[in-house]
Amino acid sequence: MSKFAIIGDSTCDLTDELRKEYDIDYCRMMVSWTNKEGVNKEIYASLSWEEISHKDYFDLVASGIRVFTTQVTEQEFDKVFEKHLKAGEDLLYIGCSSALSASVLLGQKLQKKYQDKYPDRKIYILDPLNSCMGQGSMLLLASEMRKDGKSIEEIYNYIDEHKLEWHQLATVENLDTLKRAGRVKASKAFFGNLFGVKPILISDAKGNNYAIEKQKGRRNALLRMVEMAKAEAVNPENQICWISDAECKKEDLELLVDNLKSVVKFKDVKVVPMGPIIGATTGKGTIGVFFRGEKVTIIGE
Amino acid sequence: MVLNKINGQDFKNLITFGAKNLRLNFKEVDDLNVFPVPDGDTGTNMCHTIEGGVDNIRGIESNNLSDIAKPLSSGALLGARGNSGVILSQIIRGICKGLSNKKEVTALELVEAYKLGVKQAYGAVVTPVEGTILTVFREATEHVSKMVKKSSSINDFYQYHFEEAKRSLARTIDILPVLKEAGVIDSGGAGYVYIVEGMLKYLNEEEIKVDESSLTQRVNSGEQETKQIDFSAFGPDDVLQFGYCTEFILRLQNSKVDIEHFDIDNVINILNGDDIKGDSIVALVDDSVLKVHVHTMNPGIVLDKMRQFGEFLTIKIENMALQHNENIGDSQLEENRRKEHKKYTVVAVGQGEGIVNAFKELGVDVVISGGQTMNPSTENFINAFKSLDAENIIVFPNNSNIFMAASQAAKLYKGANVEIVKTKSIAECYSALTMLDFSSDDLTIILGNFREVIDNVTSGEVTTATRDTNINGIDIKKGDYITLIDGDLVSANKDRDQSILKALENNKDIEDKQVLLLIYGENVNEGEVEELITKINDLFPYLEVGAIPGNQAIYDYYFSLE
Repeated sequence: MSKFAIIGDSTCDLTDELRKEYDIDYCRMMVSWTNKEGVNKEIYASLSWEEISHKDYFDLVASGIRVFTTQVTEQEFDKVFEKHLKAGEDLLYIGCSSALSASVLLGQKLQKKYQDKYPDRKIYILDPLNSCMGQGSMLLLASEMRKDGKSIEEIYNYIDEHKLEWHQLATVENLDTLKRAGRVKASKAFFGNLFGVKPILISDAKGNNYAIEKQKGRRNALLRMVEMAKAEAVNPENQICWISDAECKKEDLELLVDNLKSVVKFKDVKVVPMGPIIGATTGKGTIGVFFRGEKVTIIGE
Repeated sequence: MVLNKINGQDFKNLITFGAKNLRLNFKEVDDLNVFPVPDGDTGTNMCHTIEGGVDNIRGIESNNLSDIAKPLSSGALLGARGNSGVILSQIIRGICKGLSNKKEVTALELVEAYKLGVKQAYGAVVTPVEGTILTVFREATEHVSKMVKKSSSINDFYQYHFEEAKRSLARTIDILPVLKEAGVIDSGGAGYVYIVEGMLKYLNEEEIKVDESSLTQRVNSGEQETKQIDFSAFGPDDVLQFGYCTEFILRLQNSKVDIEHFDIDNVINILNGDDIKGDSIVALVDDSVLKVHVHTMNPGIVLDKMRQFGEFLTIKIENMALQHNENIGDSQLEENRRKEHKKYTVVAVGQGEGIVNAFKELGVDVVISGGQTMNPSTENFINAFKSLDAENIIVFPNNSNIFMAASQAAKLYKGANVEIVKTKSIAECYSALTMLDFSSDDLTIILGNFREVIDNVTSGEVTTATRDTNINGIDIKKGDYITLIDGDLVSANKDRDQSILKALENNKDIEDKQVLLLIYGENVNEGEVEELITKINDLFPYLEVGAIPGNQAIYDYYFSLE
């Protein structure tokens, strides 16, 4: 059995430590904005945060500056994929949900090019219909299965078959960024002048972020997420619940983590910083909870 | 003059004098307000109500009592505003029922009619509260029932009725604790006493001078102005799209139907039939008079089919493509008429440019102008309902004094299912609207969600005191800023911000609240709002505070705490 690489992208929220520990590589997307002085800035959507700190980035988003995001480019795929292919490794790429980014679609398109160039290599492109730690924890699972000696086919088939079991429950602090970016599905009446209203966003069966309901007040939204997690999680005592965090208030984060532990009784609850791509559309204060349950069947209107 | 009997014209004159005397004194009735806030409106509401009846009988010259009673009753019913107004309309309706088959009545017969008034008024109120107009009218009627003999004149009747009404009114202060604390008598009862006093003045041949201009200031008076119809709106090549607004009054005929057991649902079923496909249906039957309003593509079928019940008194059919004025007095309603069919629609009561705009942004289909200082009438609600092409109409009255007029309209309107969400304030309504969500497509869930939101809202109001008083142990000086929370006066202070901050600090639920929305009035500028928000943030760092302009009068702030 040949060695194979597991590859994510900028939306998978895996920190340097996690990627190192689980031996996971990633393809970078791009973010760009025009600062207050009118200067354009374009940088890699890096999960190492070399050019701008996590906090400074989300303060920038919160300041009202519109940050534009770019999918993984062909050059980036060439660079990352070929590095592994040249080294004789097969590839499993689990990218950002195809409903949110065209990266997976481009990867599928380029598959033939790489296959022709490296006919002996196996290349698997998986659309997780999820992002953030939904996508991230699939990558972690793939790595664990690899460690357990599973083949690349087995891993691909298992995750592809079960991917709708990954649940997302997220909320945002402020609707402005979400409205500006227009990346969330919701009925028109959902937004509007909704002071104090907090939507709860799920990743639906087509991989869209869908505002499934709304709550009045931040704390109510967080507690409602706990309630929903309790109803949805399957065997919480045997799984780690992941949280992607975009510079939330400390007390909000604590409230959520404590309740997920005490009420839902997850084996553990771990927090990672949310990446720059999804964060650019949902804004500072976004918080997402990811765990496994029954298959998601809801499709946003 | 001494009358031993009254006929139609006598009764018309009596009621007209009653209405005039109330108009002369309505401001005093308005001022009988439990809270020292400048928004009392009971007198105004009762004036609108009784004048709605008087307008409807002005031109009727018949001496027959029954010819006066019916239009008087239906005019008052549609003109009813405010809770006291609705109760007054029901009193009039009951009395008129007692007079409806009579040419003239003696004082003894009049007693029986008034007893029907008591029965009707108490029956119309879900939980009758004593110490109000209900008590005053009931006790005054019980008194005439005891005092009036076969030999009594009509003058005796009204003299007894008036004297007991006054005594009963004086007692209201001891019955209702809120009145006692505020040191005022019941305003609705006072309004009623002025009406009876006016009736007595007619019998005593006294004059009542009313400034006629004050009578014409009313919104939506029954009189229709000469219409300016623009015929060009429907040209030779236009296709009939909106159908005809068809209205008629029909006299039920004994030869055709059993009038006493006539079931209005027969009419509605026909209008809903496949050949007529009626819309915005309003059907009323009052004894032998059937009044119908319906929008249809086929008015001819309506007319043909309705003749099975009787013969027409009047008919009006108008092409709805024309910019006619259907006595609605609001061009926005005309616009709605052309809107698409909707399963769920929302009607809310509000005043102030900012509030109206915010409501519309949040999905309200029709905003009925009105509020604490001007309660909309039953007819205003019906006109708003008629302007919508809807299966369900959800109504937010936004003031407890508007509940009854809204409920009365909901009962009368047959064109859609009307549900009333009993919002007591603009702030409650705003909060409910931000959570508006019809996606469940289940009325029970939709209404349940609204109620859940409203239960969680604490709503407040800030205004200035109009007199020195003491309420809830709080000493209030005229001109103080007073803050009311959920209808209770909780703080008073010379400084507006301090009044609000104190009210918030003393609120026992403040720790559980997460969101505070301020709706600021026309007397507050943005700088002042910013300052207040800073002060609130300092005191309650975990509260998310926001503000929108409401431009409302009288109240500097409405606020909601959730």
